[in-house]
Amino acid sequence: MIPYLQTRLAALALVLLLMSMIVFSFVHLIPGDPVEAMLGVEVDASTKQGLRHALGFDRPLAAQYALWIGRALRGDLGTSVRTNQRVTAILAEKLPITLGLTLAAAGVGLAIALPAGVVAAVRRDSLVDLGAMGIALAGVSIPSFWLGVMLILLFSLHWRLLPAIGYVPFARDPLGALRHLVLPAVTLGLGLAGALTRMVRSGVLEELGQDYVRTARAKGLRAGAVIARHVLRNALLPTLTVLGVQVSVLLGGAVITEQIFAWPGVGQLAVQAVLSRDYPVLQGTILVVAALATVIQLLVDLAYALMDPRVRYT
Amino acid sequence: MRRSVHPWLLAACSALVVCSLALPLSTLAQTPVRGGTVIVGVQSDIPHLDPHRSALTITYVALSPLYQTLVDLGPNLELRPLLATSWKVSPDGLTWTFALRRGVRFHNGRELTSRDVKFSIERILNPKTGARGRGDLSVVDSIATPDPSTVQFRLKSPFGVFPTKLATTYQAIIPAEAVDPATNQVTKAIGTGPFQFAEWKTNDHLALRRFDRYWEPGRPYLDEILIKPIPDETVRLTALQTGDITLALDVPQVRLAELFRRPSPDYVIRLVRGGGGQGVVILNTRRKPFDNLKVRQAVAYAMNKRELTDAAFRGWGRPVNQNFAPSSPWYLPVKDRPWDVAKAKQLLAEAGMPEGFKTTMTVGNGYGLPAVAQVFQAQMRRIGVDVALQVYDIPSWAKRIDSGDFDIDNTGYFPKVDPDDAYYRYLHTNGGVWQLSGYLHNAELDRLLDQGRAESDPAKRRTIYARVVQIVQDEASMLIFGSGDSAVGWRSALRGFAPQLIGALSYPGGGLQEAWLAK
Repeated sequence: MIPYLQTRLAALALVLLLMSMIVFSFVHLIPGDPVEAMLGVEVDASTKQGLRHALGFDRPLAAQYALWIGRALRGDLGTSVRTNQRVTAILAEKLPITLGLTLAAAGVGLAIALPAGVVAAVRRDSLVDLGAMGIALAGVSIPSFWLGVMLILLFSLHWRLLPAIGYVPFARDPLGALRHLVLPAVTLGLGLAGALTRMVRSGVLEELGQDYVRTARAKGLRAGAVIARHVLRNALLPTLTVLGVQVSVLLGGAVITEQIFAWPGVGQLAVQAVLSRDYPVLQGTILVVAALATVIQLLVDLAYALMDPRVRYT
Repeated sequence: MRRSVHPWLLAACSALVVCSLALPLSTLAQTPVRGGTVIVGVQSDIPHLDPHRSALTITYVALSPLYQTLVDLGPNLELRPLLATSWKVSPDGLTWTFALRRGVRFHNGRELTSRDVKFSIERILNPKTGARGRGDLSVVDSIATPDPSTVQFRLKSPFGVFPTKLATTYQAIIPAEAVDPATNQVTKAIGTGPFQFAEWKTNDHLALRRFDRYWEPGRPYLDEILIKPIPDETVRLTALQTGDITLALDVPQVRLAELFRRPSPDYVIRLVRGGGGQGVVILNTRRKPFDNLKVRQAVAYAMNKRELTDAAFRGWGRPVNQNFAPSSPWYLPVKDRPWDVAKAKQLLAEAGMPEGFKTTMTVGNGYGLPAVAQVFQAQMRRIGVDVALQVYDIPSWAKRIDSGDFDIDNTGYFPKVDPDDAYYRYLHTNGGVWQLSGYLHNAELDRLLDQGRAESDPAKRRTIYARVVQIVQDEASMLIFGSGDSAVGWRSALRGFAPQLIGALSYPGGGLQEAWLAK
């Protein structure tokens, strides 16, 4: 286990270094620079050149990269061109907000997908199955920018049940935080629920045909216990893989959801960094999110060993 | 010259501005009470707390409760005293002397002096600051501080309306201790405004708290302002309707008709005439075939301004031929060119291109610019001109326009205060953003614009700028087609609030510093 972990961590470092080069060069390939974004078309060229020089964007790209990666290795991701705040400080503030939303969305996804998938598999080809699969298809197909606005119109404007927008820190007001979390988490989680329901259903179906299920039934176990104790444990392995990949997708999906619900997370941060060509923030955000996605993959792989005793790492 | 407001200007101002839903009568009847928090929904977050270093309207809007300027613009953009109580100009027109208001304190408790004014204006003039207002103040040669409450600007050439250049948050007066001398960055948000900085969580909210030592007695009434960026305009309007926010800027124009048709007792929607600025199509006179006057005029005749205005402002605008809204005192009587497709075809034929030609239009993907470009493209097809649209995101587009790398461009101009502001920078060969008139070269224009700058008699200036508008129309490279309205909405409990034409949240005599919340 330990040597395996070492190899994986070394690979992770290499991936991140390559990632940093790709991110840096791609970010600088986008035409227009922070000065153009900041000052627009109505400011004269000499003022713009003065600011460009003051910010160091007139230096060669390689020199800018060397400076950036050198500092990044020491844990300093630079300072936002736009807000003049430290990128690490910004990420420390924004990342927990987005992770909270992502986890809640994953929770919503699982809470819907597990029962729906199992019932659909057990009642295969019934109306229940058809209904669950229909809802799953809708969940995958409905775009979050539409769903989010619809949920706001229904739950906030029409029924006045939940707040339309905004983020409240859990520490300040737990109940308020939960109320503000519901709509964004459902918006983000429904797509995931769609994908997961199909996975759970096919996983359970496959296991239901196995010999050990028949054995378990033959020894008199109740149907519920067969599913919960035997089938689900095996059926969930592929679902876990999908969930690992999907959490990375959720981090991306959070961009749109955060925009709609005015959530001050990493998604909005990234969008604004692109629009304002805030190179340090954009580079730092992509790098950290990429690192996070890679670590989640690693954790999923490790979780395999816990779920399935046959899997061993050497 | 003492500060003077001409009667015709006042009359015109009181006649224009706003048409609104009927306000509840109780709005007028009650006396203001102190306390409460107003939550303002805006389009985007502020980029930073530096009032000088941004060209984004949101900076001006959101930081207006925090920072103040020497002079101020009222709801209709008329000049009024603010940190300066009076000003006068020397007979040669080169030295402007401002008397500062006494007893004004910064948020850190220190009293405002002429040294702070000198520091702030010199910071704006420093090219390394990248200040939005630098071009406006380039006429300043030196700044003197004869005593703590007097500041003197020595100009390179006479400038009759110099005070208008000191009137927006981009020219805010900040103390030296707010800026890190090593990096020239604003490290503490310190101003003289009625509200002081409390907290800024990026993309979440900017919190401003009442400044108890504010110089205007009894103001402001509110305890706190929370400015929240809500990028989606539908969600922003919904948040106003549900009461999640108190005040919404930029209510979507496309929803206005419905909102006016079905008024609600819970909130007020108010139209700000001319608040949307002016839309313009620019033909680059350095590119073929737009170096040919007849081709430019053909394009101008083929433009249906009503259609373009409707596309730009979703039906909430009026066709114009100059850089002011018809409601502005500076909207001058110059007859507009009619829409005449036959005449356009004839001019093209005279230019040797009876079959038309192919060209490109460089379009920024934002601010509704692509919709205008599509309508323009369709209109040009009627005279055989084939316009290919090249759409870029805003920073890429800005870079191309800056370097003059375009055949046709379309953009919008902010609402304007003074004709010098509306024309000089675009049309003068040394204006700074000459590309935004398509590099229109006309010797008479430079002369007229210099004259308009030096002159302070409004009647003479009207004659000068009427001629400018006429030349711009005849030369047909900067084709200003329409002026639009914007809209603001607020909960009925918010009283005493009056929106400003260019959207400042706070200004003396109006805005949030006069506003209060009914219990």
